[in-house]
Amino acid sequence: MTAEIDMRAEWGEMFGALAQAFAAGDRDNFVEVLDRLAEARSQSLYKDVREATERLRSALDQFQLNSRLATLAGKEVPDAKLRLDHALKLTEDGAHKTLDLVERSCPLAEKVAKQASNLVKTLQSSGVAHRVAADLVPGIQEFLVAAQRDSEVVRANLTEVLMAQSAQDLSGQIIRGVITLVSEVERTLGQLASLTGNDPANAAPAADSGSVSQGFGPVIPGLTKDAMSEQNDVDALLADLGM
Amino acid sequence: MNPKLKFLVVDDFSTMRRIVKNLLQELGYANIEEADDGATALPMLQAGDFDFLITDWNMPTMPGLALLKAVRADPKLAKIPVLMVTAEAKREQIVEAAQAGVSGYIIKPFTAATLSEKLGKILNKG
Repeated sequence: MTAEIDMRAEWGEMFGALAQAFAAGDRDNFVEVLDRLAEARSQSLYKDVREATERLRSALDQFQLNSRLATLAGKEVPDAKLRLDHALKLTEDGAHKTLDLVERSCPLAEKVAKQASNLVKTLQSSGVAHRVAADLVPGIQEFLVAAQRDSEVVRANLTEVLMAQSAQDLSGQIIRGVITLVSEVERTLGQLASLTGNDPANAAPAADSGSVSQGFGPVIPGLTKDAMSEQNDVDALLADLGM
Repeated sequence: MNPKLKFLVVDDFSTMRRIVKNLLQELGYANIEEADDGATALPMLQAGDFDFLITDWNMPTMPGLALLKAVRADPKLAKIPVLMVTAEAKREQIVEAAQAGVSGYIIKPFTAATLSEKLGKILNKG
């Protein structure tokens, strides 16, 4: 029906004029209308060819976009995930190695401090010093006091080293968050790449950025809203709540 | 201080569990067990005779907040002190933890002194 209306709208006037000229036997007029008709027909053909070219070009663009998406989803994103997993493993291994050393060193420092302390006491008590060459005693005492003091400092330093490793937990949590996000991007890119059309209804859903009950992960400076930056702030808030 | 107190340290990162464990040992506590998620911690709490729970918040299966609520809802466990040691620092979360009955709240990164102070405060309150 529509096609018929289109046909009549497009060609009706010229066809009528042509038929009229033909019926009237008006050759000049007939040829003139016939030329107009041929001209219009070729214009319409050009239009169709232009439209087909346009469709072909956009299909080619779409194809290129799809193959880029496929590369992203199939290769680059999984690679990024592997890299992040590896970074997570490296920081974790490093942290554990440091923790091993701290755990092995702490008792040694503690032992040295204890033994030095005992020796100082023994030396200071009467009746022992004279058995050692008299001129050695001050040096030995000085050393023992220093060993005691220094190994306590070493122990304190080791505790600091221990605490410094807590950064691995925080960076690890952040990396895990990125890995989850990357997986989500990978999944939605995969879906996009497999589409032949370009339906916006299939656009990627927003990645889940956490919830109060599950947790949001470590505070990222400049990114996390309404977060306490220090233990003091937390203590003040808890005090306000009556704790 | 009672060195016999039995602690459960819950965190999905093994490095953080080791750090908390070492700090507790330095403070003189030797009876410490570990769990890597609220879901594994809860049966341990129900089966064991733990005196103190230290838990992270953000864990894959059962987050620390859910663990805290489960502990407070269980008549056998309800009275256990629960200290949260977490990177979660949003105001609404701290309020929610307080309402759920948390005994103390430490945000990461934290210092050995902070842990010692909060532990002391909770234990002295009885």
